[in-house]
Amino acid sequence: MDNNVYLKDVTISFKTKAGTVHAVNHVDMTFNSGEITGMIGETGSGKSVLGMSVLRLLAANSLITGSIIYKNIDLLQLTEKELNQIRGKIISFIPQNPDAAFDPTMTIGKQIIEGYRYHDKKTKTAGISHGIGQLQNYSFHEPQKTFNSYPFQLSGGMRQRALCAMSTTLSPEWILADEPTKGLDAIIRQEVSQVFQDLKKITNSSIILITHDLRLAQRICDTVLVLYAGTVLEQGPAGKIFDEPLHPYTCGLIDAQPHKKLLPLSGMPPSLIDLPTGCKFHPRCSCRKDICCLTEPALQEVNGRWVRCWKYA
Amino acid sequence: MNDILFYLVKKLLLIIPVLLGITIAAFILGVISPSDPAAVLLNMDGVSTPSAQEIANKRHELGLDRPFIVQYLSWLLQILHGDLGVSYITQRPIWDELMLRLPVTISLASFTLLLVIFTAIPMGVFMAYKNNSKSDFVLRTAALIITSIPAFWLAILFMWIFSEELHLLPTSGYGTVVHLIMPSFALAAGTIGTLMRLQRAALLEVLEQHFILTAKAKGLPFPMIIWKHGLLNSLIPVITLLGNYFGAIISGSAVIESIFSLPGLGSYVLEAIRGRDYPAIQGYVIFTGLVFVLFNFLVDISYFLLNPKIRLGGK
Repeated sequence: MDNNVYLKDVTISFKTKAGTVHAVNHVDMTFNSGEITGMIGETGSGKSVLGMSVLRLLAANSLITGSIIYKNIDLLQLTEKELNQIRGKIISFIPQNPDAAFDPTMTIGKQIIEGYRYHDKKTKTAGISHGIGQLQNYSFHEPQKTFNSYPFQLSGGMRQRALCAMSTTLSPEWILADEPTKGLDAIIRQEVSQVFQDLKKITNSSIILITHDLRLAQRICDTVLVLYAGTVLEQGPAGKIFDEPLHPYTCGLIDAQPHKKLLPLSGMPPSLIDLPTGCKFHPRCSCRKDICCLTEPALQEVNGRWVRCWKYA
Repeated sequence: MNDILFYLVKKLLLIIPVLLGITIAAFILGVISPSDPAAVLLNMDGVSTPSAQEIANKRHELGLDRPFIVQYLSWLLQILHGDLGVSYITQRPIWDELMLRLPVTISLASFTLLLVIFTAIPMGVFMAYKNNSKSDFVLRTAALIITSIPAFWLAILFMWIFSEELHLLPTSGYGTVVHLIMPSFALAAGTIGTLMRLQRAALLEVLEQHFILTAKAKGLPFPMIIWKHGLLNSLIPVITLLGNYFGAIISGSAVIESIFSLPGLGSYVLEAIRGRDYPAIQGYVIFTGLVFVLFNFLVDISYFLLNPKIRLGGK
């Protein structure tokens, strides 16, 4: 049995007053163990929602259908109690926004070892030495001092590293990282990508990286998944996708980067309540054909990767 | 350790202007009172009618012909020496009168406060835990109802049920804890209603925070998340409200003490108001003002204990 995570026809919607928001639409894919898989896309592309659904951390008004299989268990069918045996222990989570992800009234150390002490039933002393060891792994110079600090006493970069330390205390199989570079300045972003490389080395865990930071994805991911309006548009090895993107949307994303052409994608992402017919990207696509407005293309294998576009059909 | 001292000294210094404000308010109360203290003193026996000359002499003797600011300062100096003047009615020093009654009010207020803390906070937490369930709805409605009921009405209802019908509790008097049960419940009810709704709302707001998601992702059970991350973070608004409502408890105790014949500050001041005993009312204002300010000082100290950012001097 492998440790891959299989998503089968996963559809996620949210009931809101304005209508049903179709955040993720019929996603079929596999997160391969041993790899760093990046999920990229604009804000509202459904990447965070899809990531969080693996741990079922979505808001109460969400509705998930399909199945998410890990070791022959459908995570979507587990009870809350069973799920808590997976959360943190087998699949851990690195939340976005390190400023808000820590409880301001509890020391960093206590928060880092909280899951470890709860799941592995460890004593306080064992927890403390384990926690300090964890901090050491993430190159904290004074782990003892950091352990006893409160979140507001650390810098943004330190908090991000502490979050990573927190996610690996139980040596999980999988780590789910949600936008680790969102809202960070360039220097700390650099630091974070180093931390993720360390993370891989330290834990041997497989990583699902949710990000809109293409440079981070390019630097550290093995596989990349491009999401748009809750649909996978392109999927394949990171090198191939960044060097010769196939889907017009992927090309647009890459060209929009400051160090490339700095050419913004025209138009806005579609409303998730009222999705366009046919290919979801067609209203913004420069290579649009008649068929694109009518029928949604299927994911097809092209040059060793998968693309959802009529251009390659 | 230095941080604590600095924080406490800072808070204590901030109390001084508040206390001055209270004394000014109390002094003005004396100034605007329609009765002339000189006339009142000369007319104490109720028989003699003092002449205008006699009143003028007495006013001079009492220093009432001096400018208000001079009067205020000398009065303030007196108060600082613990001299609140003499009651018109009993002719006894007001300080002694108040000290005699203080323990009754303090025990009623503390009993009420404990009742509020140990019912409203757990209930509010329970409501947030069971958010939007049937029990949450029932408790929310109950909270609304008890907030709307006037304390005196509740007091009478309690007396009727527990004293008249069930013969369980005494209707009046002071001495044992049993005497405090009904008064403190009647006094606590309104605050309990408000506070449990606030505790619920504050906790629900905390449960929306990112760090709660972090805790969920660790696989911790929900009750543990509420206990370890939710409660402490939700307590600051709750304690602030409790500080404000302590004033309501003190003033509400005037009515309750009088209904249950408790010989406390509240029933004393009601007597004083009825007898237009202005020095006694002034004394009560200063005294309860001081108690209120001291209680809020305790609230400030609790912030210090609850919030590491304040404790460790974060920016």
